[in-house]
Amino acid sequence: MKLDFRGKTALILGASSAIGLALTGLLLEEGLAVIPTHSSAQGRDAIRERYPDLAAASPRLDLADKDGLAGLAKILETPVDYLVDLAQADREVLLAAAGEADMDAYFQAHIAHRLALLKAVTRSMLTRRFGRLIYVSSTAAALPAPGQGLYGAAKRAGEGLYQSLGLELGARGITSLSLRLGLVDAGRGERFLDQDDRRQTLADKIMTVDQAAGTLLFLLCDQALALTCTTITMDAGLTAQKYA
Amino acid sequence: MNPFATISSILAEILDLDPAEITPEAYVIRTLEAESIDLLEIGVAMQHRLGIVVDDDRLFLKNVRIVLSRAQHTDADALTALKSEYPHLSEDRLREILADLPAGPVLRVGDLVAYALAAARIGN
Repeated sequence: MKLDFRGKTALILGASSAIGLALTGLLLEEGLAVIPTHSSAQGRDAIRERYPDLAAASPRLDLADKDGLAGLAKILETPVDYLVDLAQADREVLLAAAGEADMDAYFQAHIAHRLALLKAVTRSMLTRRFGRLIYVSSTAAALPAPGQGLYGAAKRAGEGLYQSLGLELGARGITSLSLRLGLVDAGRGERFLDQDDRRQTLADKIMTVDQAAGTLLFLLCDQALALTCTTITMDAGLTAQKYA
Repeated sequence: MNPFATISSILAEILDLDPAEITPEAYVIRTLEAESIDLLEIGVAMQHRLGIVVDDDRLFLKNVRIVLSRAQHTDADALTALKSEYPHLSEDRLREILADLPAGPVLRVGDLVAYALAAARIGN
């Protein structure tokens, strides 16, 4: 099947992640322009190494830095049709042990600042009456492990923001979807799998970066636009069963 | 600069109206039947086409009742409270709003024009 894309430009938040880098490549192959953002020098270097031609077009955008979000206006001078949101800092702490400043900053960044960003992006999309928003969530939003309370709650809040935006702006051509990913063999998933004998016990629940990126590509295309205002789970059955 | 022509064109396009129906006196919600999603689009279009910074709450007089309620709780003068929140509107217009409030949403096309003129002055 040939995938169709009515839009031309994708903004990828957190593009230096393994999934972000892979998705960037797939979008470029489809002929789309990509604006890959990074939030650290390490991320900037990862994008530069993989896509030297995009290095100059990779802006810094860190949800933790509210003042830095002012840079969005410059980014949005290029009409953005697609937003893929992979931006999420990890934070493992038992909720009852979480520091107050830490929890405030985490929720400010991942909920309030995310909404500020979404407001700017969707207002820009409204002028063209088209936009596709994809939020990369996690199975931790549904089933957090101990220590994932902040992360899981922020993910669930993010899903709520995206669902409401799709609901409120759907009549103006803006659709949204959250994708809950399970164990992807990269980043924090890879670190988790590398502990103990998890690669053996969870062998059939591990997904590849290519699977995740390929699914995101499909979810962006015109054929998938009816998937909106909802959350779907892609976890190789990880959260489908009651007991392991 | 008179932004009325641009605003009128935006309203006609978004609300699917004959531009002749749009006068400065027309009520945006009560008469032209703009809904919340329309207001969002109108604000975005004004921002882009007029090159002004738009605060939706102020532009569309969304918090008039909240401002008045707050003033009542603090024994503040209603007109003074409205003047502080909506400095782009004249005192006569604010008096008119106070009298008109029981009849429904008070926003008129002329209020959008006044906002655009004030925002352009600040921008300059």
